[in-house]
Amino acid sequence: MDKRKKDEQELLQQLVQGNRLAMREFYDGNSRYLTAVCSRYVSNEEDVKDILQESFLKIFKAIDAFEYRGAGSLRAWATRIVVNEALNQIKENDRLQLTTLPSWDLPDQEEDQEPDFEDIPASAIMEMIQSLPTGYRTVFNLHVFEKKTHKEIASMLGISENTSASQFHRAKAQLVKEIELYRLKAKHYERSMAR
Amino acid sequence: MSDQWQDDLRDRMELHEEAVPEGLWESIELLMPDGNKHRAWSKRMIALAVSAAAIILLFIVLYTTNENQAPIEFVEKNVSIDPGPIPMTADEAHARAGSMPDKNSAVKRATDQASTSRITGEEKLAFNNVSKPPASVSRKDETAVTVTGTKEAGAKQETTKKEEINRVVTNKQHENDLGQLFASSSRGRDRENAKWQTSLSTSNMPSSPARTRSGYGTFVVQEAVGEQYVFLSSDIRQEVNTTVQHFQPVSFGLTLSYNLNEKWSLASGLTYSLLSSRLHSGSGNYHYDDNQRLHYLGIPLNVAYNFWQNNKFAGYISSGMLVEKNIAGSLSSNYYIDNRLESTAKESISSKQLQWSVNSAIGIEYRVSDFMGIYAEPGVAYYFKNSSEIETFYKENPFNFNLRVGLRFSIND
Repeated sequence: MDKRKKDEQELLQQLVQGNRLAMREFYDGNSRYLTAVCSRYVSNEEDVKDILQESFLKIFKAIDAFEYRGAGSLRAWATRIVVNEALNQIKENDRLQLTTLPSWDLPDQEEDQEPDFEDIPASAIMEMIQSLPTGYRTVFNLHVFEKKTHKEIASMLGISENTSASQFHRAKAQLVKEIELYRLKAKHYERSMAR
Repeated sequence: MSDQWQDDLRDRMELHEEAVPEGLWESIELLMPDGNKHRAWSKRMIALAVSAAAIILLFIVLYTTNENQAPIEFVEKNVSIDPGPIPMTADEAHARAGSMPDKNSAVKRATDQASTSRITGEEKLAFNNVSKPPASVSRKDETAVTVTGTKEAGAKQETTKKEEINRVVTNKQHENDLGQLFASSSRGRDRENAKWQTSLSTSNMPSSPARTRSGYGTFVVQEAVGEQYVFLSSDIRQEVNTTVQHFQPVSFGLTLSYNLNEKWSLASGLTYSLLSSRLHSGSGNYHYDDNQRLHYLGIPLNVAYNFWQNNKFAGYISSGMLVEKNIAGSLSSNYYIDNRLESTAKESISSKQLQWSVNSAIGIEYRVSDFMGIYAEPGVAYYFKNSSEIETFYKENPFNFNLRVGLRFSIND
C-alpha cells in the first residue's frame, strides 16, 4: 500500500506539472476501469467515448485542485468526474425517462427479495445493469456504487426522494428477474452444449 | 444491515474493467490545449534559467569558500552535459542538492524543477515507446451463455397450432387440385387396364404420452449429457422437472404404383413428414419451453398384394421400407420468469443421418370412379435407430401404429 501511495503521489506530482507522459500513464492505468464505470450509466458506445473524453480533459485540467487523501483517492476522484459527466449527459438528453407509476404498483413480494449476483460473471452483471431503463439504472448506480442516499440522489437528479426510492426498488426487482433469466438460460445452454 | 448485497456487488464491480472505446486517447490528446506544450516549454526555460542562476550562485559560493578548481569543473559538467537523456528523479535531485554545502531553498527548488524539465524533455522521445492500451478484449467472453432472442419468434409459436390446421386444409385443397389434374389427363378407360397408379396419402400416428423426468433438459438424448447433471443438481431451490412430448408426425405422400399383374404391385414416390415436439423444463414459475419442428422428405418402396376385390372395393396388404432425410428443422425456446415470457431464442437444427424404417399395412380401397379410389391403410412401422442426438417421435417410439388415408389415381398406359 505504501508503495502504491508513493507511486500515486509521484504520478500526481507529474500530472500537476502537465507532464504528458504522466497523463498517458494515468490513462493507461485507469481508462479501463473508468470505461466500466461510465458504461454502467450510459450504454451507447459513442456516448461513452464522448463522456470519457470530456472527463479525462477535465481531470487533467483540474488536477491542481485535487487534494490527495491516501491510496485510491485519485481514482475515486476521477470516478466522480466521470459519473458527473455521465449524469450531465443523461440530463442534457433528457433521457432519465422516469417511470412514474404509483408506488402501490410495486409488487409486494419482491420488496424483500434481494438480487444475488454471486454466480453471475461481472460482464453479465454489467449487461443486466445496462438493460435497466435509464431512470432505474441511474438511481441504482448512484445508490449502490456511489453510495448516495435517496435524498442526495433526489437533489442531484431533481426528483423527489420517493421517486428515487421507488426507482431503486423497481431496479432491484428487475435485476432479480434478470438473474433468474440468466440462470435459466445458462442451464439451457449447458444442456444444449452437449448437442 | 440488509444491504450486504450492495457491498458485495460494489466490491465485485470494483475489479471489473471494460474495453476502452477505440481512439479515445487520440481524441483526448487532440483536444488537449496546445498551450499545455507551450507552458511546459516555458516552464522548462524558466527552470533552466533558475537552475543556471542557482548554479552560478553555487559556483560563486564554492569558489569563494574553497579556492579549489575541481568542484567547479564538476558542477559545470553537470550543467553542460546533463541535458542528455539521463533521467534524474526528483529524489536524486534532492539528494544532490542536499549534498551541496549550501542548502538554500531556492537552489533546491531550482534543481527540482530542472529535473522535472529534463523529464519533460524526454517526453517526446519516450512517448513513441509507450505501448498502446491493451487491445480491446471482448466483453462477451463470459456471457456466451446469454442467449438473446427475438420477441417475434414468441408470437410465431402461438400460431403454430393454427399453422398446422391451415396446412392440413391447404393440403386437402392441393389434393383436389391434383385430382383435377390427373382426372383431366386420364381418358376414363377400364381400371383393369391400368398399369400405373398414383396416390396421395396422409397419415397421422397417435402422439406419444408425455414423459417426465427430473432436472432440466433439452431435446438431446439423455446419455450424451450425463455429465451435465452435476451442474443441474446445483438447483436445489425447487424440484425441477422436464416434460417431453412428441406429437404425432403428420405426413403426406405422393405415390406412384406399378401393377405387375392382377395381384401384385410395386409402389414408390415421395413423402413429407413433420415431426414436432414440445419440451417443458423448469420448476414452478421459472421454466423454459422448447418447440422442436423437424421436416423430413422420404422415398418409400412398397410391394402390395391384392388379395380380394369386387367392382367397388379392393383389399390388399402392403409392406416395404422408407428412407427419410431431415431437410430442415427449428428449435425455438421461450424463457418464462414468473410465468411471463421474458425472452425467446430460435435456432435451426438438423440431423444428417438418414432415418430408415420398415412398414407393413393392410389396406382397403373404395373406387369412387374408374380412375380414382379412396383408401385407408392401418399399419405398423418400425423406425431404426440412427446415431442422431436429436430426440424425436421416431426415437421415442420406434415401433408404432399408424393409419394412412389417401386418394389413389390410376394412370393408364
